Amino acid sequence: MLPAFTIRRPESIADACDLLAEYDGDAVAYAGGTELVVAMKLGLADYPVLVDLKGVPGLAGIAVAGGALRIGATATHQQIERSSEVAAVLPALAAVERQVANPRVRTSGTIGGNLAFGEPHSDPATFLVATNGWVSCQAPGGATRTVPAADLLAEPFQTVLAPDELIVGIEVPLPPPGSALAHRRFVLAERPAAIASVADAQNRALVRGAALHPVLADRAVALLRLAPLEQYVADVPVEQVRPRRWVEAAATDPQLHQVPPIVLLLNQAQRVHRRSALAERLVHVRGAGQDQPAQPLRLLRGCLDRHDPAEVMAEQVRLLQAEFLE
Amino acid sequence: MIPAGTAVGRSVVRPDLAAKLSGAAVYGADLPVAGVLHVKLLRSVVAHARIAAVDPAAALEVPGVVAVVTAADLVDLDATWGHYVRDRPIFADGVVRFAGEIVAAVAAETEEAAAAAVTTIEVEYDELPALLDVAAAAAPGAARVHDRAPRPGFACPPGTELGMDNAFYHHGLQHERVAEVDEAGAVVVQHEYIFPAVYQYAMEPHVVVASWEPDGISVHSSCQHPFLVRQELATVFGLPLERVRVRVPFVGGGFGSKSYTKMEPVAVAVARAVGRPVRLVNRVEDAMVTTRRHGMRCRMRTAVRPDGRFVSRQAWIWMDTGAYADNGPTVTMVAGMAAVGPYRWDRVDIDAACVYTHLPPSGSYRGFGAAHLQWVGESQVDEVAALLGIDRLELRLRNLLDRGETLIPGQRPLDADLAGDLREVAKRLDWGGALPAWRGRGISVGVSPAGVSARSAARVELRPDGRVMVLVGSQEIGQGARTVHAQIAAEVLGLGMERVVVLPTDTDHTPYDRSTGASRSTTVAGLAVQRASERLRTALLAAAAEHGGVPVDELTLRDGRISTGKRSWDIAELAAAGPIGADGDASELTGAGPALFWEVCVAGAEVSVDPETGLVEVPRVVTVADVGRAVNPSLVERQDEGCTLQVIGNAFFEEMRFSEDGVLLNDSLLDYRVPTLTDVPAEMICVIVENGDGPGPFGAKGCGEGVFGGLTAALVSAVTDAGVPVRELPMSPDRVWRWIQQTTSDTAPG
Repeated sequence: MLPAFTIRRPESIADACDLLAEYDGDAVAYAGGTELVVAMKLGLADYPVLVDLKGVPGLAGIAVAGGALRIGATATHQQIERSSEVAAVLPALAAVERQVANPRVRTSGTIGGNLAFGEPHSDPATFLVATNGWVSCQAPGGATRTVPAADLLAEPFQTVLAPDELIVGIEVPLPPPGSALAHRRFVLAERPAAIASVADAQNRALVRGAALHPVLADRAVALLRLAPLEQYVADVPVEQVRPRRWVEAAATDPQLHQVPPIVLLLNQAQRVHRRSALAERLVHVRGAGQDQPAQPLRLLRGCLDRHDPAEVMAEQVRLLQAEFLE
Repeated sequence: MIPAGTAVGRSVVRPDLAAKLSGAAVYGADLPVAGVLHVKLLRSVVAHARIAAVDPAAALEVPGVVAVVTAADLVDLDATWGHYVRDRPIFADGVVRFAGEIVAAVAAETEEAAAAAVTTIEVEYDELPALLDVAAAAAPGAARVHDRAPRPGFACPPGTELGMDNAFYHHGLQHERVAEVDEAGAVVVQHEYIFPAVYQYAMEPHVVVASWEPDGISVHSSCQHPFLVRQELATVFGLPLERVRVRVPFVGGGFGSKSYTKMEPVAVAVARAVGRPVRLVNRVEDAMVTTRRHGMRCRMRTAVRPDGRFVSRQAWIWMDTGAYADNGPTVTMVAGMAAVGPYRWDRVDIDAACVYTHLPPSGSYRGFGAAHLQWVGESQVDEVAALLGIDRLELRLRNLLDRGETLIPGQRPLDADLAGDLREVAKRLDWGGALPAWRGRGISVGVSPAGVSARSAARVELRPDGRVMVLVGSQEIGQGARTVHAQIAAEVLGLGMERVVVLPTDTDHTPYDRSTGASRSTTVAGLAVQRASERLRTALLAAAAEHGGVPVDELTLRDGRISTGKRSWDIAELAAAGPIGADGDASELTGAGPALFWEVCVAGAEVSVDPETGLVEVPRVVTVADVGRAVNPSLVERQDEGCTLQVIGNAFFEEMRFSEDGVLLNDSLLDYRVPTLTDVPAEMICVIVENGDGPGPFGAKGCGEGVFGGLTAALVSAVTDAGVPVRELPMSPDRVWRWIQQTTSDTAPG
């Protein structure tokens, strides 16, 4: 059931920020509503005031400038998918957008809304991290900043944005000439268990699981070095991998905030392959039309395991260590 | 193929299509009801507990709240229900037996107030150990989910034995054609198998509008069996049948989830307590703990002579019916029958048990029993074929029963050409052709008892405006029952479809129909429509003969006109002085046991397994709609396609997951994946077989459920053929991947 709310329609970005500040946590930015309204219906979010950004000037548009693709926050997934600019300079992004949810969501859902919701396995967000993208933000008083896409999430469903700060657009650096990008999704359950993006220029793999921060493979290694295994195994029951439970549990269990994201990644991982089928497909896409030989990539295999999560996870940690720490 | 009639045999467009597409169709949640109160339910958060206290004080303070209703408000009633076993309290009475059981209800002026208030009710639970595994619950010495002796419900067949154990109902099938033991050289396979609990997912969850009026109960419910709901409510609330009125608005899908009684007793109980009409609308998370498909464990053994002749089959089956029986015993009975398979055995020994656990109740879901067991039996046939080096199709054809042979003693003999159906599938699968690695083909054959009861009646009336009204109690739940019934009446009466209207059910006016399920709407209710239409035709011709002073045998009735050859007149003229009606029923359908006919469950599939990820793709499925006569061929095909998609979900990814405490984890469509258009197989071939051998109108017999047994088994067979043996569903990528690793390590050189 959708709770009652009031819609406010600001005339500028500054007005929108001021409204958010004025209601002090009781208002939230709203554009496509495809994430927010679902969360409100489920009782996971409750805001008396929605600040409607759809008509606000300066938030729309898609353009290429200064070696980057710039997309306004209220551009819908469908606009990005069908944009001739995107098709010309970053066709992989158009392909990512074509995979988002369903036509109904793509028609109304926006890139800014998708990022601001902090959905931990968002396809566009994953792509943006893999491509070293940036998120441009504005706060009351006209203060602006740019946040690396990789740093946008403080935790699942929680961005680093202040409550009165808006995403105004994103920027994706154009890949060097002669390189290619690919994005593949591996869906096992209603919630995708793992998403992989690879950016050719950096030759990096990036993997996400349910309720998981975007983690670049090299960062995952670093995290793995930092924390002892036993802590992961003991602290994370498999059912809390579910995003909803995570949100509920995080509200009541301060310890859960401490769990590094890699733990959940491991929870999802079934096996580490030097050359997995997924990796090979990505490599195949990369290599297409190019002379250079495809290089093997390291990817984590994502899979839910219902039987003995702790045991499986311990095994995966050993495998990961063998793979990354040797 | 049988030539089409004027209406029957044609793929006419559903008369209710425009209403559904345009949004004009009124569903239960849309019904305008003056002064209606909104109901929200408080459900148990624990699987098994004593209720120490319920404190509604805070809820009653919420503005707009009219009442909080609990078991304490029903002490003047025997407030338990259940058509098979009367085991279920309307509100938990001292004990909760599953997470999701209804503890209290809030009635408020607005939905918002009810929703806000229900979260403020304080319940103190003294938790008790919960039995969540069907095998543990059925084990000797297990604690009992119910400590009282089971009471038969109003629809429990006389003579049914209900026991005190958690395994409270057994369906046994023991018969011997040849009284011997399996010979020494027999090939024997024996394994254990697991089937998951899944959710039916009708797009519209349950909705009830109820009022308690001086002259009785009035209910609008999105239900499949309004006449059985009427009987249940009359029983629980102590009223004669005539003082309970059930009406059914448009229904947004059923698949068994709206069979029998579901939310009606609690809605009526609240209406009775508050003295005003109430509306109760389930959300998906409510619907998922209202009814589901039985999870199952099974051990099966098959013995076959070295020459390929089937010898014996044994099976021990445990069906997890959850905390309350619902339709569990019927599901268990059909599961037991499905375990046999349509083969010529020397000996059969089956024990299917219906078992209480502390999980949400299970009931009917499309193709029940056959969906659970056909894949188990058929995978053993495949395994035997591999051991003997005999082609899987050939082994089946050698052992299949012929038309007229006994499947199960005391039941209707086999009434279909199963070998012919199987050959149709094989042909379309290019059976025997080479396939690349990790691809496989599967084929499967089975039957399931359908029809259940001949208790269907219909009334057909010619109205003064020249339209014909069909009153029949089958519910239109998307399957096209209204379309088919209109076609049958139009065919018999020589009318255009536009002049036939099938009315929604109102138990005060619609003739009795037992239920919308078991594929009986075309065959059984349809026969009643045919008979009533024939009588009306006779009556119209007699009236016309009298009207025109012409002998009856000189009259013809076509396109709504009666003619003598020289002159003709519209039949509307006959009804100018008032409607002319006729009644009909299906009482001529007889047969022992539940099978008025055997629904054919024959299908095939081709799959492709990704050994790296465990993901299975389904490039092709073939289903057989052995329907006797296709009243509406397009609807028959859509039935098979819709069922195919549900099978894909059940076989490959759907699974209700419960925590160690028995709480449903994936209780929303964000977490419980249902099939979408992206899961549709690349090629779906529906072979319609018309042998005119059904007991229904024009030789028809029911369809739409057989695919669940047939295709589930064919998919298992195909995945096995691709190199991955299957003992558990769903064949999710994680399982398939693990099975591949096990198979590889088992066969690796030591």
